[in-house]
This record gives sequence, C-alpha cells and structure tokens, in this order.
Amino acid sequence: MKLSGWFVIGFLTMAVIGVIWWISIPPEVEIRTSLSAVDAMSGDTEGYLRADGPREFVFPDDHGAHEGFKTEWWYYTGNLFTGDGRQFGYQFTIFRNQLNPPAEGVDTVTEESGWSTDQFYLGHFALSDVENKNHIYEERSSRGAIGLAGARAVPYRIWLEDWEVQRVGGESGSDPRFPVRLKAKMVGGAAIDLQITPAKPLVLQGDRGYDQKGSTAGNASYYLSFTRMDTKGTLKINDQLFEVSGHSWMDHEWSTSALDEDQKGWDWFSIQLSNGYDLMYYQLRLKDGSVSRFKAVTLVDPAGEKVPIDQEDATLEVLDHWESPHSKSSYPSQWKLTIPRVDLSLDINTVFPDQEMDVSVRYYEGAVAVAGTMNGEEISGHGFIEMTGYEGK
Amino acid sequence: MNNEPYISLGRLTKSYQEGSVTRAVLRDLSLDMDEGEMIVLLGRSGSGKSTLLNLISGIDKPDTGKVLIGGTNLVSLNEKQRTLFRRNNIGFVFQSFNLISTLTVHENVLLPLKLKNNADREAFRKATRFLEEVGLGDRGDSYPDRLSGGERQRVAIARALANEPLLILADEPTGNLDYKTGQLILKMLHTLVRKNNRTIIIATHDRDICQIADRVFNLQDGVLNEVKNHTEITGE
Amino acid sequence: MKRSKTNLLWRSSIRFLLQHPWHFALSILGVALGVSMVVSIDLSNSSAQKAFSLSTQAVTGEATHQVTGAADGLDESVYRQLRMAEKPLKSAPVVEGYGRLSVVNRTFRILGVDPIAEAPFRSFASQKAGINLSDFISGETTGLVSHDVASELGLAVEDTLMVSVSGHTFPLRLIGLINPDNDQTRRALENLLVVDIGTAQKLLNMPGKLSRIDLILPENTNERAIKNITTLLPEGADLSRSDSRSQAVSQMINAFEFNLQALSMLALLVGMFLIYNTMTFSVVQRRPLIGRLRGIGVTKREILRVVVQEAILIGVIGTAIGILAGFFLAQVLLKLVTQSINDLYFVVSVQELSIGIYPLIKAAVLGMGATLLAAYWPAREASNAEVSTVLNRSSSESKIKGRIGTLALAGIVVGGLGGGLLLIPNGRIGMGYVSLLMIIIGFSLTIPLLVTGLTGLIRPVLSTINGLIGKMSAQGIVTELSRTSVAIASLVVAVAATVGVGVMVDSFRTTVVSWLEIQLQADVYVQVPRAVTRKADGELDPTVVLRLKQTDGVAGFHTVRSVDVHTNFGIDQLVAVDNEVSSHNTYQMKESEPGFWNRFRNEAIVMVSEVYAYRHHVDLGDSVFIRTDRGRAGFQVAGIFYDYASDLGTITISRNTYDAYFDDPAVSGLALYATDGADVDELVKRLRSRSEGLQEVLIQSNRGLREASIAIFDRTFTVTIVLRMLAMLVAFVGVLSALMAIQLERKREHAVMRANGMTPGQLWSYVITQSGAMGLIAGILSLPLGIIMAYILVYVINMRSFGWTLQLMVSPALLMQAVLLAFLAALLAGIYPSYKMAKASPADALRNN
Repeated sequence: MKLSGWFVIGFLTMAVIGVIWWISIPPEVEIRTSLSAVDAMSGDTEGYLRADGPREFVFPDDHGAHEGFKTEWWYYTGNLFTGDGRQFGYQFTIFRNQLNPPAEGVDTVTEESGWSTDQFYLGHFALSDVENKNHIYEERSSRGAIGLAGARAVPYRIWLEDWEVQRVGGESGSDPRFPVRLKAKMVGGAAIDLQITPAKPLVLQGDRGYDQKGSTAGNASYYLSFTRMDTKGTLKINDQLFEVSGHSWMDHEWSTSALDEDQKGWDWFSIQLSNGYDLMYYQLRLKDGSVSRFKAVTLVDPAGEKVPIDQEDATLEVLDHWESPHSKSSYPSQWKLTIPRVDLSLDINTVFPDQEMDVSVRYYEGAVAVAGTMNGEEISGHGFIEMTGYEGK
Repeated sequence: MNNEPYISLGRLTKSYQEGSVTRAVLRDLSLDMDEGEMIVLLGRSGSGKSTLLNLISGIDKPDTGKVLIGGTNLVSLNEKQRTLFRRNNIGFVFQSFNLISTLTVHENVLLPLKLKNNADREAFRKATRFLEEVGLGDRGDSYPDRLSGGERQRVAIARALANEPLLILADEPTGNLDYKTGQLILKMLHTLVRKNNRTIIIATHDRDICQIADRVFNLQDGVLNEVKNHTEITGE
Repeated sequence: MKRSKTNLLWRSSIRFLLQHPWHFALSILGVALGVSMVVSIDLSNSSAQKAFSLSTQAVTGEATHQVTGAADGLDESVYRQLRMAEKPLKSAPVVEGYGRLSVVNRTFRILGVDPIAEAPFRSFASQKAGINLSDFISGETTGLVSHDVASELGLAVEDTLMVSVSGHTFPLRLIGLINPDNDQTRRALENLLVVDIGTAQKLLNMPGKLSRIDLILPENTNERAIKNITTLLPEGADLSRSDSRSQAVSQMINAFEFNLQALSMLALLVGMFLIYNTMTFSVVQRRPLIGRLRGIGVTKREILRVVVQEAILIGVIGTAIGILAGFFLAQVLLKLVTQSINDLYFVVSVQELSIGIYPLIKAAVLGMGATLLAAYWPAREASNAEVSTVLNRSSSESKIKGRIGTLALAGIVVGGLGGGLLLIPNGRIGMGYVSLLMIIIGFSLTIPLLVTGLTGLIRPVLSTINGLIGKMSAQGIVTELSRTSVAIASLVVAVAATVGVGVMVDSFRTTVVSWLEIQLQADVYVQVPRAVTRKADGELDPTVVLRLKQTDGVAGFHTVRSVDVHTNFGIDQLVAVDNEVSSHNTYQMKESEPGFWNRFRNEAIVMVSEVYAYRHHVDLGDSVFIRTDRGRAGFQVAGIFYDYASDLGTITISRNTYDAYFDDPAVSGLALYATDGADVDELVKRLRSRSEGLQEVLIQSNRGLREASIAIFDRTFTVTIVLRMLAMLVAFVGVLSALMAIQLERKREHAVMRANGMTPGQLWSYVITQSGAMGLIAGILSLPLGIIMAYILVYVINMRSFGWTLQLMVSPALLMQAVLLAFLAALLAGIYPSYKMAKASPADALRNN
C-alpha cells in the first residue's frame, strides 16, 4: 500500500467518527415534568365556604371577590353592531379559583412574600366576527398577587393583568347601576374597549340569588345578573377599528361545588329580546344524556322585574347539531324554546357554528340569533349560548 | 551490442576524506567483463575491494569514471534509479551473510523477487527451487539465527541466484566460515553460477578461490593487476 | 503484487517490534501518557463546561432577553408594570440563588419561578407540567427536585428537606419530582431546587425583589420595540440578551481552563520527546538491518514508508490506550476541576463525565500528529542509513559530534527568538506559550553540547569514585551522543516541566500568604456562609451586625458590602468599604492618584484591583460605568490595588459613595478590632455566643481566616498539583524508558565487556554508574530550563491570563526534588538491563545477527 493509502485510511476513520458523532447528538428535547397532579379546578371541597341557602347581599361589596368559596366568575357577553349593522359577539370572563380551603374562614396565606396566595385567576376573551364567521379567543391566567390579578368591590375592578373591567365615574358613589369600562386585548391585536352601563337593575337569580343546582346540599351557587346593559365603544379586529354599540349581559356567580356526581354539563342561554324582555334559561344534563330536573328560567320584563314562571314551564327542543372540527364534539346548533305560560316561542340559531372555546377547559360560548313570537307578537333577539359537557360525544 | 563488453568499468577513481588527509582508494581503474565470466578480486584488507564492489553495485558513486553494466551507465543514474537498478540486476553474497533476521529463510530468498515485482506464485516457486538447489529445501520456515554459518551463506547464495541478476557480487563469501564449509560453499557457488550462466565477481583474500575463476585480479594501491599464474600466488 | 512486497517489509518490521517488546511498549507508553493527559484534562474541562451550559440552559429556558436590576436585584413592581403594559409580552419573573441541602451538604441552585408564567420559558417548571399550584404558590415552603436527585439522596415526595441559605435554615416540603425524559435534561437539573417565586424571596431574603425578568421577544424584534420596553423600566434596570450573562460567566473560567490545557499540552510535548527517543532507538538499533535491506535494493522511500507505518501503529495503539486511560484519569480530575470551579466561580454540579467526540478527535489528532512528527526525523534518518555490507556505526556518531556546535548555535537562536517574543508588548497568552515552546526546543538543541561539557566535568569525579569503570561510564555517554543526548533532552524537558509548574505554584502561594498578612488587619472577621467562595451572595442580619459591634472587647469595626453589578465591562464585583481610615491600611496600592484616601470617601471615585485593571485595560483616570439605582453612573478610577482574592478583579468604592448610588443598606461582612490586650480567641467565643440563634455566621479570628483562605487556595490548586505529579510521572517513565532503551541497546557491547572478563558485578556497576550519571546530568540541566519555564509561567503566562503580580519564589527543596527524581529514575532504569545482562550468557549476545 502506498503512503497515501495510510492517510486515506486515517481520513476515513476520522470521517466515520465524525458521522457517528453527528448521529449521536441527541435531539433537543423539551424538559417535561410529571407530578402527582391534582387539578386545581376540582378536588376536595372540604373546608371551603358553601352556598347553603339564600343570604342577604351587601352592595357594592358583593360585586367583589368572595374568597373562601372555591370558584367565582364575572361573565360579560354581548352582541355589538357597527353603524352599518355589522355584528360582533364578545365574551369576557374572569374566573377566580381558590387553591386551598380557608383556615377558619380566612386566607391561609402568610404574608412573608407578596407572591404567596391562594387565589388563582383565569381569563377568557373571545370575539365572534359574524360577517366572516370568525371566532377568535385567548386565555390567560395569573396568581391573584402583587396586583397581577384580582376582584375588588370598591371601587369595582375585576382584572387580570391588562384585561380589566373597572368602574368609571363617581368611583365611590352609591349608584347601584354604575357604569364600567371593559378593556381587553389579545396578543394578536384584537381588542375591545367598551363603556357598559346597566339599563336594568341587578337581578338576583334563583331564590333571591341562591341557585340550587344539585340535590346534594351545598351544590348551589350565588348568582347575580345584569341582564341588559347598554354598551358603546370600540372593537378592533384584523387591525380594523370599529365603533360599536349594543347590549351586554353580566353574570356574577360564586360557589364551592355546584354540580352533582351524575351531572355532566349544561346548556345556558342569555337572551335580550326586541320587546324589552330578557330571558335566562339553563338546563343541566345528566351523564346518560338526559336533561336533569335542575333547570332554571328567568324572564325579566322591560322594567327589570322578574316575571314569575316555574322552571317546569319551559321546554327546549334541539333541532340541529354541529360537529366541531377541533374536538369532534357534537354541539346543538339550533333550538326551539317554548314557555307556553307566557305565550313565548323562540327559534334560536347560533350566528355561525364554530364558536367553540378550545382552551384549558373546552366549552362552547357563542352568539345566537333569536326569532319568534311572544303574546302573538313577532319578536327577535340576540343572545349567547354556553354549552359544556359535550366532549367525547 | 556484442561488440560492447558485458560489464565495463572505465577509469574509476575514488578517494575518501579522512580528517585533513585525502586518501585515494581507486586510481584510474578499468576492467571489462564478458557475460558468464567469473572473476576473482584479490586484495588485502583495506585495499579497496569493498569500495570497488560498492561502485559496481551502485551503492556508492565514483569520483570520476564510468560503470557500465549491460549497457547502463550507473554513474549517470541518481540514487533512487541506482537502487532500482541494484534491486533488479545485482545479486549479493556477503561475508557476514546479511540475511534479514526478522524474515524466515524462505522470505529472505523471496524478498528480492518481490521487490522486483515477480508474480507471487512464480516468486514463491522460484524461491523454493533455489533453496532446494542449495540443499535447504526443508529449512524454509526457519529464521536465520537458527542456521549455521554455512547454511546462512547457502541461503544468501540462493537469494542472489533466485533474483536472476545480471551480475553477482560476492564479498568474502567464505570469510566467516571454516575451511571445509568454505570449500563446500565455493563449490556450490561455482556449480550454480555456471549452471545458471551467471556473471560473478568474487572479492576475497582466499587464494583457493582462484582455481575456479576465469580471471584473477589483484587490487593493490588502487590499481588492478591481472594475475596470470594463480598457483604462484597460491603458493605464497 | 505491490502489496505483497510491502507486506514482507512490514512483516519484518512487526517482527522486529515484537522481538523488542520493551522498546515497543515504551514507545506506546510515551504516546499513551501524553494523550491521556490531554484527554483527561479536556474531558474534565468540557464536562464542567457542559454541565454549566446545561444547567444554564435549563435555568434560562427559552428566554431570549432578560431585565436585570442594578445591584440588589429588581423591584417586583417592574414585573407588574411589564405585565400590565399595553403590548402583550411573554415574561416570567425569576428569583435565583444558592442554598445547601443540610443533610447531604450539597449546594443547590434555588430557582424561584411563577409556574403560571413559566410555560413558554421552562416547561419543567410550568403549571402545565402539573405542578400543584395549591401546594406551590400558597406560601408554604415547598419545592421540586429532579427525580434523579431524589433517588440519589433517598428522598420521596412529602419528605421535608432542610435548606440552608446565608446562615438561615428552612424546612422545605418536597411536593413533586421533575421527571426529565432524556439524559441531557436529567443532567441539567442535577443541582436545581425549583420553588415558587414567593418561596424563593423568603429563602433568599429578597422581599419585593426579583433576580431578573425573563422575556421572549420575537426574533424580528427591532431596536425600537426594545427601546419601548426599556422605557417601561426604572432607572438601574436594563434589558439584555439572555445569553450575554452565561457568556460572561463562562468566560470567567476560560483562563483557568486554558491553563490546565496548557499543562496537558506540556505533557504531550514531553510525550513527544519520549516517542522521538524510542523511535530513534528503534531505528538506530536497526541501522545494520536497514543497511542490508538497502543493499538488496529496497529504496529509501520504501524504508521511510515502513518506519512511518510503524509510527502509525505505535501512534494508533498509544492513542487508543491513552484515550482509555484518559477516561479513568478524567474521573479523578473531574472532581478536582469541579471543586476549583465551584470554589472560584460558580456552583456547577458535575456528577459524570460528558464524553464529547471533540476531545477524542483532538486527542487522536494530537496523538497521531505528535507520533508522526516525533517519528519523522528518525524515519528520515532510517532511510538515509548507509547502504551497508558491513556493520558500521561510527559514521553517524562522528556526524553528530561534528554538529554539536551548530546545533547549540541553532538552539541559542531559537531560544533567543522565543525570548524575544516575550518582549513584544501586549502579547497574548498563546504567544507566551509559543515562546515557551521555542525556548524549550532551543534549550534541547544545546543539550548535546552541554552533555559533552558536563561529562567532561564529571568524568574525573566518576573515575575517582569508580575507577576505570567510572571513567568508561562517562565516556560511553559521549561516544554515543546521538542517542544519549536525545534521551537526556527528553528527561530535561520532562523534569523541567515539573520544576516550572512547581515553582509557579510556590510563587503564587508565597505571594498570597504575604498579601494576606497585610490584608487581614482586623482581629475578627464575620461573614455569612457562602455557597461559592468568591461570589457575593448573602447578607448579614442587621441585628447581628448591631449586636456584634456592641460586644465587649470590640474597639472598632469596618463593614464590607459586596455585590455583583453591571458595568460597561459586564458583570463585576463591587465592594463597598466603610470606615476608610481603619480599612485603608489593608490595601496595598500599586498606583494611586495623589490624595487618594482623602478623596475616596466623598468623591465618585473607585479603586480597582490589579487584575481588574489588567483584564479591562483600565488605567488611573479612566472611568468605570456602573448601573446604579440612580441610573448609569461613571466613576473615575483613582487607585489600583493588589488583590489575590479574585481572579476576575473587583471594584472598590467607599460605603458613603455606595449609599449615595444604591438603595441597599445590607452588609456582607464585618471586620472587628479588639481592644488593646484583649484575648482574640475569647472575643471570638463571646461573639459567637452573642450571635447564636439569630443567624448562622462565620466568625473567625484573623489567624483562622488566614488559614481558611490558604486552605481554599490550596484546594484550588490541587488540580495543578495533581497535574504536576502526573508530569513527574511522565518524566519518571521518560527517564526510565530512555535510559533503559539505551542500556538494552548496548547488549552487544556489554556482552563484549563480559567476554573480555568483566564480572557481572562490574557490569552492573558500569551500567548503573552510566545510567545514574545521565540521570544526574539531566536533573542538573533541567534546573535552568525549569526556572526559565517558571519565570515565563509566573511573569508572562500568569500575567497575561490573570494579571497578577507574583514574586518568583524558587525553593531549593523543589530543585533538589527534581534532581533526585531524575537521578532515582535513572538508577532504576539501569537495574533491569544490567540484571538481564548479568544473567545472560555473553555468547548469546555476541552471536552474529
């Protein structure tokens, strides 16, 4: 063999080593943690405050957070229109979760660091662009500490970082129908900045604001609503800014455990009718797919008074379904709601089908269009439908 | 070609520097040889015999003059060409045998053939044949240090002959051997050289060798003198 | 056909090597030792680096940028402002520090995070990874370690660990284990304790403060967007790239590692001499054989090729063995290197070697390269061997004898050039090593001359001691100069290397000890136990400070505050001292502006350590810009002082000035002066009892601290000392192999002597005397070279890599040790050959061929 042959051998050896090296470099792999995880949303209810009967509300304090209860939310939904009639739906919700039961009714957190807390906040913000059948949403969360998130009664402010609903004008005033400013912006740039003023007084849902949802004692919530609020402001989507106005609905509800073991989910309507009436209807569904006996209907007249009706008076019929391409869940998309006692018959349709919220807890929150009759009179309306528990169907 | 001598040394001079003194070893030395001739070179130690053999084999170069072997002038070749010429055309038999201690007997005979690029099988056969010719056919796998002096010299003869050289140079081939063995080796060398029609120069101070030679020369003071009557010298 | 021809030559070579197993083995040993040194140093360095970068990577996560504060962290309100800012930005707060798990006494990096914000940054610490927020963020002291750490320490979920930080101990409930899914991440999390940000603030005593805020900015973020973010930040806070910090940190250890590498290269150089030496022997010994081959008609090129092939064989085997041995050696060195790095720079936990392919390729290239380089001259010499018909040696000896003058001249020229290189101002470290190498080579070239001279000197001595045999022994060294001088040269280099490194470490130590004498003027020192010796973390409890100051027997005090700050040069240590009157005696100024101490207290001036000035090319009158709580401020350098405590350098400022620029009342250390005539040990006891139960602090007397400092110094240099011992081993083996080879090679000569009537005892004496004489000559010659090497290491290499002024300190004991090393190894080397010869029948060796 020639001298060069030896060098070739040497070179080849190096080359082979080099190739093996390249192959042997492990790909960058994400560091993953697996823990004996307990979902913060569920778990033991032991030690928390319970909704165990009607109570006296004190305002404005009861607009704020009710620490000690496990779960609480402030739910803003609404249908907004531009001057030329283009429709948008919006949902803005701040959830509060308590991580540990309060020790003797007070927060367990010792104040050694401002960061330590038992309060966990989650926010959802969604927009439905009806014209483009486009539904966009975002979720964020934070601990309720060092001012990152919170729910304050006086002056009213519910916030999660730069998403917030805040009382405007006369901040310490005693006006029970105080206006708020709602501001939220998604990473992508879509945003709302709305001035919201209740057009009717606060409604105490259920039995004076106590809403029994299961047969087990304590499976209930405290539930307050502003069913019709005049809304005005700007909405930005796809880098386009719109002047919008319309009606919003706000639910404020808190509980520690609401559902029974055999309850799987709910269908929840909030509707503002053209004749000045507002309608809230929900039904809980059982695991076998049937409708639970726990359902609720509230009809609020134009003056803001609850029309007395029994939950048995309402009937809801599903006329059509839509299968989500994201979750493969099949959600109802068209309903007929009748309440013969007040001579009400409504056809309800989602304004477009795909308004599923594919976030940490998957659910459906969508704008609906309503048409029908009440007392023989043709009416229409706008509202929102919330559906949960359709996974795996 | 026939008119030209087979080997022709023309007016060779060679001198060495020893300190400040220049010592001339060969002075204007000339010699012609025919193919198949056997020449004996006599001379005392230090008379320049080895120097002359080195010049003839191309190991060394003369200061002046020419070395013509089979039509090639070694003087005009460079070191590498001379080495290749030597490898292909000259066979050696040394006083100190100069076998390669790290090769077996058979491999020692094989080495020059391999160097000459003989085909493997043919080389192998040739090496075996010449080992048999020197009577060592059964010792091929031994290492040189297992052999007696005579046996080693026989290997060296086989090595020189197997190469089928133009010229064999033997430098004191019997110098390290006892008298009887020496005679045996000489006889073998003589027989085989004649049988294979090889040309050979034997440098020696052993005058017995003169009897088998075609011509005998005496190297003295750097000059060659032909010795006509060996017996005279032998008788000394 | 060509192949089979080469095979026959190759076969001959192999048989030769196998017939001389000693030479063969020694050649291989030479390569293997050199290679193993390089491999082990490389592997341990790269393992430490790898562990560092892995843990940095784990801690940095996906962050691209970070917001950091001035000295004492960043106010957490900055984070809120960022989160509340108009533009949605990916950000996560971090509180970081070090603590020890008391049971295992191992330092952990405490990483405080907000798991809710972590998902885009560090998935293992994020809420999505399944961290139970109820346990984690609600204020209870809880944390996570990796699965491996848990099983290593025998921990299970729900166990309580004792975490000790800056003298305070906290019980911590382990609420979960991080399950890395591959090796890399497993190792990245080896010394990480993940806690909630609130918990971290509590553990590290940083209420309301963050260490930094990590950000992920999109790749196309432009200057303006960055500026927009910067406008949200308060004075003193700064936005920088995340990798800049880890770069700054890893640069710290570059000089340290470079020096270790240089030591290993020195070993390889010595190894090369060994290879050269043994290859030369192998060729010289075969000169007759080669001559015969040439006679038969083997060309020069064919001879060259065969010798090169042998070298390749030796190189391959030696390199392979060297790499294997390097692995084992690296296991030992790794601990030492890690120890030094932890003491000096930052905490890195390296539990295992990371076997990168790069060090292996480097070792293979160096091993093969060194072998071929070292074998080149012998191979050439072989191919130039006389085409011989008779044995003929003397010619080559006469050649070298005729050339010793020329060689020496060449040596002086090369060495002179090497020395000249040192004179080039502002030379780099690499240049220092080049000139070191040139001086070594130059010195080696003069060795034949020196050996001849020295032999002339010792010949009468030996002949007096050992008569004729002594004289013969001395003469033998000169008659075979071509081989003896190579052997001696390799010994000289090897032994000199040990002298050089030894003198350097000695000089360093002496300088530091005398510096400490002056530095430590107070009687008692109070410090917070620190995880990293030279890192500023930890604060003394103000109540502790107050109590200790008011202890009986305390006449005076001064305090020290030491923080890491951002300067225009990166992250630097800033030391604030108060009570300038008493503290100023402790500073030895190298240079200072007139009236420095008068101005120091009230003006915006600083003094920097010598190392700092050197590293950053700072001179008197220059300014250092420091990010303070008042924004970026310039401080004029008005003094440069000697300091051997930090190889990174420090900036020292008066406490008065510090307080004007930083909102940080904390104290890192306290120096107390005892009242006249007080018993310091009693005072220490009193102080200890007074601080009991408040904070675990280190209270040491002047003497105690000095001893502790020296102990740390020694520990830091353990790795150097180990390397020096290895170099000594290489040198020892070198002496042994070279001299043994010479003596074995002379078998025939010895046989002649035996045949001529030398008794085995006389032969023994002859061989030992000669061997010993060569060892002695090598030992003596190694001293000047060793001292020159030390000089270069101390005044050039050290100066250029660290910037310290050291006093060259040559201890006679060290020099004696070197000579003794060479001499003993040489004696030992004589034993085997003479034993073998004395036993063997001379007839065997005399037989031809």
